[in-house]
Amino acid sequence: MEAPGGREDYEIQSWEKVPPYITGLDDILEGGLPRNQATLVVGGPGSGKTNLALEFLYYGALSKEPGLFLGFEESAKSLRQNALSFGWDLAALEKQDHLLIIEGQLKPETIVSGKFSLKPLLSIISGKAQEIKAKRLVIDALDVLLQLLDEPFAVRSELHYLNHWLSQQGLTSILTLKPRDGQFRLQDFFYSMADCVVQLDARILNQVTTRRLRVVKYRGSNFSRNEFPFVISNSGIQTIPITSIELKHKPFTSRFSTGLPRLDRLLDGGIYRASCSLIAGEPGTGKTLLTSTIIQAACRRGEKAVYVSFEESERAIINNVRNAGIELEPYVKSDLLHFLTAMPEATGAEEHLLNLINEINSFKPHHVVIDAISACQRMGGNQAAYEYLMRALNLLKERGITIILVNQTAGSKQQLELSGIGISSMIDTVIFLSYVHGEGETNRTIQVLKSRGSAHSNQIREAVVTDHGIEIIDAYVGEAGVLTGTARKVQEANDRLTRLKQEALVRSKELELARMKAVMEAERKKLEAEIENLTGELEALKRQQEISREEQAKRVMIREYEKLALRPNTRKNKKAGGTVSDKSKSTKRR
Amino acid sequence: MATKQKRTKRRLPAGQPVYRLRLYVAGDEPNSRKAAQTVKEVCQTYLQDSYQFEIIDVFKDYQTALKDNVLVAPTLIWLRKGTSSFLIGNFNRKKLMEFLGLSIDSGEGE
Repeated sequence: MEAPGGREDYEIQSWEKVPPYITGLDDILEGGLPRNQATLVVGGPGSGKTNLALEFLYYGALSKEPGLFLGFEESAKSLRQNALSFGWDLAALEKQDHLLIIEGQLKPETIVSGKFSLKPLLSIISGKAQEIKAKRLVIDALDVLLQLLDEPFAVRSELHYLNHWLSQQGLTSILTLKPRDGQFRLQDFFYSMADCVVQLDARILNQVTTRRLRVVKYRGSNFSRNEFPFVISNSGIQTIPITSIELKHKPFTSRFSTGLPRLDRLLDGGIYRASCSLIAGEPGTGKTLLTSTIIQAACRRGEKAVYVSFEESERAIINNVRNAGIELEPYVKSDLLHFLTAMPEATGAEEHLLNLINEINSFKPHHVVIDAISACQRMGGNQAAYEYLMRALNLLKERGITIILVNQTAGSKQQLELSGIGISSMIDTVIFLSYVHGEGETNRTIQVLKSRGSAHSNQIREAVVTDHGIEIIDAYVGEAGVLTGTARKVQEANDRLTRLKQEALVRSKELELARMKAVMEAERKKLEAEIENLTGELEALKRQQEISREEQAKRVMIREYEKLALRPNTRKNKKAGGTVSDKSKSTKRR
Repeated sequence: MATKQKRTKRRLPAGQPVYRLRLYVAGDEPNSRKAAQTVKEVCQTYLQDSYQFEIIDVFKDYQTALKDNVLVAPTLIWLRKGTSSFLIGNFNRKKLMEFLGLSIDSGEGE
């Protein structure tokens, strides 16, 4: 191979990669460490360099890649002991020649004088590497070795040689290095020499140790450039990358019931699967109870749930909600519900996250509750809480797990700052629980403030905690605002009274009208009868009149006839005929 | 201190092979060559017959180097009963004599 300087310019093609088998690091390095190249792992004392290197060797050895560990700091015995605490039995691997530990501590009686080279070291490495057919190498820690070479020029030339030599050995190596004060120029040199540089860091944030990992450079390869939190758990190093740089959340398709039909209706049919809901409210508004109701409903359908509680113990939650008629214990027993309870300040955010991830991986739940996100700040401030939640939510959403976050709001109307931790963009549905203070009593209200991708009612409802769970009642919404509890009942009674009064009034008016109409009808009929009577009488009279007139006429005619018969004077008879009326008058007079 | 006391002891019983020296070299690279040269000169000048001196090339025998925990070259080991002393680097004659506890007042060391 060419000199290191030349290689740098020409070999742009990506490396064949070696998985370090360290959870998460493979992703960050987009595949792994460069095969047959040296990777520099830089970090202060206690930052986890040696652990990382050991893990790299241990899992390599298990997967048919034997390794050499050259330790300048710790004895083989303490390394074995250290490894055993992660469950890695180095001694067993050593017996099978899959692993070799070389102690490189200098004897205390050593005197250094003048220039020297690292060639024996390299000779030992290559000799031993051939013996056990090693594929991996760790040198821990380079700085101890280089301490001897106090001359910068010597350091550089030895390092160049080392790097060049390593690239020819067919060994994928990790060199650890502690940065020292006053060695910044040397560090720059290291950085430019190595093809891949990983920086580890342990810092204290708000009294909680947080570990960070960052890939500083990776020549010829893509990698995630951010800082990633990691933990040293009881199974080794685990990093938690911001899950897959691109967002791959699926659109929501199906919904599930909250267990409260009225709440389902407010939510236009329930909560979307794989969505993230926030149940927020003041202390005592029934957040945990509502959450437990939803979980109970889920478990009833045979779905699995994890309840992460940072505030109350499993027992406390189960007992508290039992008083309100929600039974969780049967589901804990039937292994549908797992509680994950921890004090937030007990460990760093990474470890909390890791516990959650491990739980999700092994239990594969449908739902995850985090109660309460406000408590996450105790993991080490807002930033820690943000990181914990952001990573957890991303992961859960990716896996299609429904998330229910519980948050305690301090003030009464903190609606704009419901989450307070800057994760509001991740939240799809917000259910806000609150109090309404009325005359001598306080009542709970429930309101859906936000529900992505669905129509929902913004109306405030009253939530009543009964001994058989939460009951949601339409609150009285009137001119006086929202009325709940007794005030609502009073108002409702008043309303009812008013309504009754009005109804009565209408009915009485209707009756009166009907009566009037009846009266009118009766009058009409009476008058008609009278009219008929009168008409009849009138007819009768008229008839009588006619009859009597005819009789009169007959009598007149008879009389005339009698007159004619007595005096046969035609003239007189004619005259008399012409003045019938006069004669009749005179007759009447008579 | 300790070396001074030993110096007086060691100077007296000449003729015995009290100095057992082992030098690790990396092939014939200059630093190693220089160290080997220095050891030979000092031994011949001051120790006459009372020394054993072997040179091990790490390129040929890494096993012994590993056993002696020698990682850099040149490394000179003064093998003694209880403990062994290590001198590393392309030391000069003066350093070597100090290391071996030889008196410099015999002249040429300066």
